[in-house]
This record gives sequence, structure tokens and C-alpha cells, in this order.
Amino acid sequence: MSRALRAWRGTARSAAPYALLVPALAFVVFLLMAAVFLLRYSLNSWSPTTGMISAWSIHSYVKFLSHPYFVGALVKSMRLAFLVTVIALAIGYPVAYLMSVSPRYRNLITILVVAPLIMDVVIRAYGWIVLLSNGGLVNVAIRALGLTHEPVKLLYTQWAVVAELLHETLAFMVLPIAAVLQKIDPSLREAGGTLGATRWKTFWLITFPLSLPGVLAGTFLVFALGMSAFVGPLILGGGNVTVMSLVIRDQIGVTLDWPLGSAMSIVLVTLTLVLLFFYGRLIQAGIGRNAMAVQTRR
Amino acid sequence: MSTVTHKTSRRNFLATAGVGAASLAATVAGAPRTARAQGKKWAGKTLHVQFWSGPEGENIIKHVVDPFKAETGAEVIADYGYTSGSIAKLRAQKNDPQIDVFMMDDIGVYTTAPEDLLTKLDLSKMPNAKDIDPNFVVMDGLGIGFFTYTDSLVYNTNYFKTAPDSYEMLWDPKLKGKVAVPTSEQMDAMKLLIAAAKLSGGDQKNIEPGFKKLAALKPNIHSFISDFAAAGELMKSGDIVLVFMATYLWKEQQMKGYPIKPTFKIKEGIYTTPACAVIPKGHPGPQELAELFINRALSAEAQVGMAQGLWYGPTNRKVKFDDPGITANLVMPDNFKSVVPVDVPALAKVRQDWITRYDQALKG
Repeated sequence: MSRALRAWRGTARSAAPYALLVPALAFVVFLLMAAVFLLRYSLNSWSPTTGMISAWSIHSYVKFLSHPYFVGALVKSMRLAFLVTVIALAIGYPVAYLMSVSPRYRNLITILVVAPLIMDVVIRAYGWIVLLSNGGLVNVAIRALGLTHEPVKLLYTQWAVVAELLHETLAFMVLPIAAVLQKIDPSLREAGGTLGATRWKTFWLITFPLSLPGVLAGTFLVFALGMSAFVGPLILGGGNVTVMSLVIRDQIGVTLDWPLGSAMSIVLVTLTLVLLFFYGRLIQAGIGRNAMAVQTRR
Repeated sequence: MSTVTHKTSRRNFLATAGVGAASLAATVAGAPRTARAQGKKWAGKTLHVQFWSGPEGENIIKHVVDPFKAETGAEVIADYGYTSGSIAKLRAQKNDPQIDVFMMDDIGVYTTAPEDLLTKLDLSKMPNAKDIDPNFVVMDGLGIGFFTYTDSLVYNTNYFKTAPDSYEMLWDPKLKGKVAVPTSEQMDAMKLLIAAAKLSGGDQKNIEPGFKKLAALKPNIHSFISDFAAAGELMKSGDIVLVFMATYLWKEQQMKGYPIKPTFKIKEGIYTTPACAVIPKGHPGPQELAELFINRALSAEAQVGMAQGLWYGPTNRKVKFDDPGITANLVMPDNFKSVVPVDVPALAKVRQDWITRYDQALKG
């Protein structure tokens, strides 16, 4: 084999990992291009008689942020995402913990957690309509238990949307936490027990702090998905749950005010990123404090 | 002048609905080759059209597209989109139009015509145009109506023993949480707003009382309808008993025997919208073929079929029905005296603001 051929093969071998990045890079480039277009559109002006007009103006941002209805929708989106994240964490953490301490049931739990993602979101939403309607299973159960005689309005409320979003996002909370919990050295918990800590104390002082990176990843994903939720609020909100994704859809697809819809999208994405950035910093600081505390105790 | 008269039976309807989906595939696939083999004049030519998707689109395919293909031998490629999407496409393709015929609500004509995007239709090339009620020649012939749909009250027949006869019934305190209204992005919502304004002494030009009246409707709202299948189930179960909405959308549930019925005998009048066909300026296909396509949509035969298929009101004055199963469910040109006039060009200018304020009044 000639030296040149060997050199070429060496170069090709070292370049191969970078070549594998090409699809991901292409995806990122197109995503960024779309974002740049949105940003540019958001600075155009608009007329109901002619549509979008090329300009450099922040009018759409002012229109969005000065309108109580639009700002209300933004607040409602944040509240919905926050609610879903907190409830998903409350439900998801114990499930992830169970996965980490019960290797026997790990695969079964993983399948159960991931199963909803196999189903299309629209079909899932219609399933919730069947469950939550006045004659649905939930209302039948409530009445059978004697909790009420009249059906409770569950469908087309914020809680119906929360239920669907939990169904949709729980896996994104459970799997990152479980992955981190599984990596925690069991000897750390055993050491806590040996030193006299109760199970509860061991959990709070050792397991939970060490699982914070998983909690961070899970809450990031669920909050972001909650902020951008569309189908759940559309189908299960019944028009009673106004979130930003629906308001943006109206601007882009109905009134055709693309500058306003683009400005709303830019603000929504920016706000989500900023919130997640500061939240990430907060959690990272918590992780750092725990590490310091562990070192001090040592 | 001959009159095209048809009677509808349940079987006809089911056949109409059933073949809709199949005809969609047939539209794109085999028919042109057959026609070419038969040596028809337009064999090998293609027409690009855009209209609504779903049952509306299937109705048009069955009664306009398929017969047109059989008559002319031309191929038809259909794109789908609501009126807002058609307006966006007309604007986006201004310099390079890709569609020969758009079918959309009249607001689409009023919105795009001032932007010089449409060709004036040569009605002399469309023999069926002479039978169309002159009310539906829109903007001096830039668009022409080929069916109508009507917004009115749709009610649960188990709850109402006699049909409600006023929009004021929507505000009845006894109907707390039992009323459904359109989502703001639908044109039906704008009609409801105008109706509310009129009930409070206002009108389209003095709309403020309408927003106040809508705010008072809030306690009665069960939900905002965008999903008709789910809304039909809620009407059936009695969760919703009264709706302001386009009436043809409930046909499927009515045919299934659900206790749902529209009424057009409303003191304050009804709101009828024409669906129009337009030809964009600089469209790619042959002008004559586009005109033939619209001519087919204007024919009494096509409009009878569309009325049977989805209770679309005809615009062709030759169309008559003697089946009360049809006449009770659509508005004929003879009934246009009860239609409330809407200034659509003016509405197009304020629609965005009204959409937001409609939501604010009912959800804020």
C-alpha cells in the first residue's frame, strides 16, 4: 500500500465522524434560516388590504406587547407550561425512581411511558374527548362514586389540556431523570444508611441532589413543549384555552398578518429561551452548592 | 326555460358521500388517459385549481371536477386550502401564478381584487352564467358565486320543541353553558358579531354594541366550535343545545339521526355567503379551459349535485327542489330577501381587529 493511499485513508477515517454531523448541521441551518426569515418578517409592516409590506419597523412588536389580549395569551401559555411541568415532575419523578431501583420492571415501565408517543397527537386528543366528556369514563366514575349527581364539565377546560399535555410529555420528564438516577452509585445511598440516615433523609440529601441534572433536562423539555403546545389546546381547549400557538396561527393563517405572527413567534421563543436559561443557571447553582456541601462533609 | 328538479333520498346522499373520497384519487389518476384515448379536445391539457379540503372538497370533486374531466378530457390537479390560504397564495404567486382557478368565499374576491390579482371573467364564454342570480356576480365579474352557505341557528330538537326564531335566544339565561359559537377565525364569527350589534341597536358600521352584547353571552358559552364531529356529539348528548354556525356542516350528523336541525326563520334575518370562482391574472393554463371549468360549477346539474351532497344553496335560478328534506336545509335564491346584507369589503379591512376583540369579549 502506497504512503499516499495510507495517508488518504487516515484522513478519511479522521473526517468520518465530522461527515456524520452533516445531516444535523443541515437541520440546524434550515432551522436557523427559518428563524432569520421570521425575524425579518416581524420587522415588515402590514395592511389588511395589501398584506405584508417590506419595511423596517418594530410596529408588530409594539402591537403585540401593548395589547392586553395578546399579552394575556402569553401569560396563559406560561401558566399552562408551568403547571404541566410541575405536575409532570411530581408524577414523573416517582416513576423514574421506580425504574432506577427496580431493574426487573424497568423495561415494562419504559414501554408504558413511551407508548403514548407512538400514537398521533390528534388521536390521543380525541381519546381524551371520549374520556372527559359528560358521558365519558371519568364522569361516569365520579358519579358512580357518589361524588356528584350532575356531570362535571371537564372537557374544554384548562385541565383537559393539562391532562393531554401530561400524556404527551411525561416520557420527556421520566426518561432523563431515570437515566441520571440509574447512574448514581448505590454505595452512596448505602453509606448514608450506614451513617444513620433514614431512607427519607438519604433521598433528600443524596439521591435528589444528584438527580438534579436529570430534573433539569426533563423540566427543560416539558416546559418548552408546554409553551409551544398546539393540538392539545386546539382540540381539548374548545376555544376556552387561549394560548400563544393558537393566537399565532390566527395571525399567520387567518388574518394573514405575517409580521405580527412572526413578532409573536420571536417573542415566544426568546422568552422561553430566557426563562430556561435563568432556570438552568438556578439549578446549576443548586447542583454546585450540593457538590460543595458533599465535599465539606467529607 | 327548462327546470332541473331533483329529489334526494338517504341512499343518494350516502352514495354521494361514499364516492367522494374515491373520486379524489380518480381525479388525479386514470380519467385523462381514458379521455385522451377517446380523442377529446382538451386531452393532455392540465388545469390547476384550488378549493376547500374535506367534505367540501369532495363535494366539488364529485359534481364539478369529475364531470368536467369527463366532458373535456383535461386533467385537473387540485390544491386544497381555505379562503385565507387562497388569499395568501394569490399574493405569494403574484409574479408567477401556479393556479388557474381559485374557489373561495366572497371575502377572498373583495380582498384580492383591489390588489389587481384577478382577471375579469368573460361571462359570455360561460353559457351557464346567464342563469346565475345577479347578486352573485361579484365585483363586476371578477368573481362569480357557484354555491352559498348560510349562518343561522342550529338547535337540539330534544330541547326545543319549536324552532328558535331569534338570535336573542342565544342569550337566554336558561341556556347557561349550553350554547356554542364559532371560533374567531371563522367568518361565521364575524356574522355573529354583526347579529349581536343589530340586537343592541348597532350594526356593521356601529359595531361597539356588538362587543358589549357578546360579552354578555359569556355565561352561556359551552365551547367554541372548530371540530364539527365533536360538536355533533355534544349536540346529541344535549351538552350543547343551540349554536350559531354554518348550517350545512351538520348534515352528516342529521343524516345519522342526531337531534339537530337548522332554522332559517329568524326575525333578524340570516347570513348567506357565496362561494366564488375566480381566475388569477397570468394563470398558467388555457383561459378557455379555466372558463369551461367555472361554467361547469355554474351549471344547474353541478349545483343540484352539490346541494344534495352537502346542502349547498344554489346560485343558479334554474335549480328547483320539491323535496322538503332539501329545501328545509338550504337557502334558495327565492329566500334571499331574508338575507342580512354584509359589507364584505369593509369587513375585510377591520377583520383582524374584530377577531381579537371577539376573543377578548368572549374569553377575556
